[in-house]
Amino acid sequence: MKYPVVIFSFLFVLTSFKGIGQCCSAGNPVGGDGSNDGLGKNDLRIFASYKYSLSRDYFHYDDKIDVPNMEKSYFDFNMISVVYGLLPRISLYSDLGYFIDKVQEVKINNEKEIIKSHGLGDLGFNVRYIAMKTVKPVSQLVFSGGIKIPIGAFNEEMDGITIPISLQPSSGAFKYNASVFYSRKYANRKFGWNSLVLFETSNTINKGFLVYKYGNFCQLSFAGSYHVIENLILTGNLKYEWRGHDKRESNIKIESTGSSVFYVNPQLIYNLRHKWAILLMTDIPVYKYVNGYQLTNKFSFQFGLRRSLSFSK
Amino acid sequence: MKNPFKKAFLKHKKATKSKSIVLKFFIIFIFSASLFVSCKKENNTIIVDPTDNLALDSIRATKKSIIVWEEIYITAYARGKNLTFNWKANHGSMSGKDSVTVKYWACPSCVGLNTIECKVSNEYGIVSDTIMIKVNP
Repeated sequence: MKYPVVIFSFLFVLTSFKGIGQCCSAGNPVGGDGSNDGLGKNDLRIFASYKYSLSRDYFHYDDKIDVPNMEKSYFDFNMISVVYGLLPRISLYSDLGYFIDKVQEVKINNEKEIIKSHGLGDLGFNVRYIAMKTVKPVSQLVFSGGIKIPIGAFNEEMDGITIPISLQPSSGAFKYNASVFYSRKYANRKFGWNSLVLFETSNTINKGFLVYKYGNFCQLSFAGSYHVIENLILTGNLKYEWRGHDKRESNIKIESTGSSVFYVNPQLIYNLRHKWAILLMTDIPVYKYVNGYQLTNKFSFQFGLRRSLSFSK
Repeated sequence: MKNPFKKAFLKHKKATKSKSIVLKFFIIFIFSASLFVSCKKENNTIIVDPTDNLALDSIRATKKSIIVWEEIYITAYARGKNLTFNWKANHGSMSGKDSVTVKYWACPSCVGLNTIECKVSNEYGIVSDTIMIKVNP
């Protein structure tokens, strides 16, 4: 009986929030399987996922405003990520994504214009160091540092016109990140919690007359997990994201960029046999403050399949 | 009795007249020949301005200062055969199927002095030019 109640509650939470949040931006969306832990030596975890995001509402500061020109913006995104335990305390992480489509629909002078692109996003690479690990209780403190490499498509065209930077599959810029992750599971292993602090900065794109620097990005999150039944884990994640102003040539600050957003990020993990798991998660922005005027996210959801393997003898 | 002077005069006049006719024919012949030769030469060698193969004379916009979401049209005036147009903007969006003229507009994050570049190419090479559009909040 618990089963359908939990799933129904999850779906209710998924659909009932009147969300606001991130708009379409260049490069991979923040993804992964929601975990930033380190693995034991020779352990491997592979996660393949699909993400859909729809942006519809325009905001000025924290007020929804009516902009008849903007209809919607959405993307369909596939991602694969791999974590491998290289040494007892060091794990390597990598992810790569592909935009099936990245679309913006606008109405200009009552004429509908659709701009779309598709292609490979950025390649992410991180090194995770397990600074502290205990068995009772099960806990981990992980420091991580990494880079996102713009290997993907950044010159996508449509009818001989180069698509705007925000709709390009790749961000076009190298991004560097550092994070601290802590997780703890109580002795009965039914409850657990984890927390993440992440900072990301970007270098400046300098291609011809395009000079652009993405604003710095910071994420703080706190998640609590509960084993509803043996194979089903329900996680409630509270997330705060801050993004600074983007800059263009001559270091000019772009007023309508940068934001502060609070998200609720519920996740369902169902463990199958042979270390397979199904994940379902969503990002629901519950409060957003944007600088200037910006398109914001209505909702996004992600589902994926995870497989854990161990090559230890 | 015939006047011998008159006879000699008439004979000289006749000879002069026939010389004059020959000269006229010669001049007409030379003129016609030269005209024919010059016309033939012109038909063989067409002198072409090299810029006619590929040239981008100008890029013009219906307005150079706009507000957010306002639409304008930007046209590339180019010469040459089999032209391909490629447009690029550092900020702002464009659309257009025929490529010679594109529609341009900008969202709030594109406020500023923006550069729009048009590259025109064919088998002779590539030429490009830019136009600046100011987007006001």
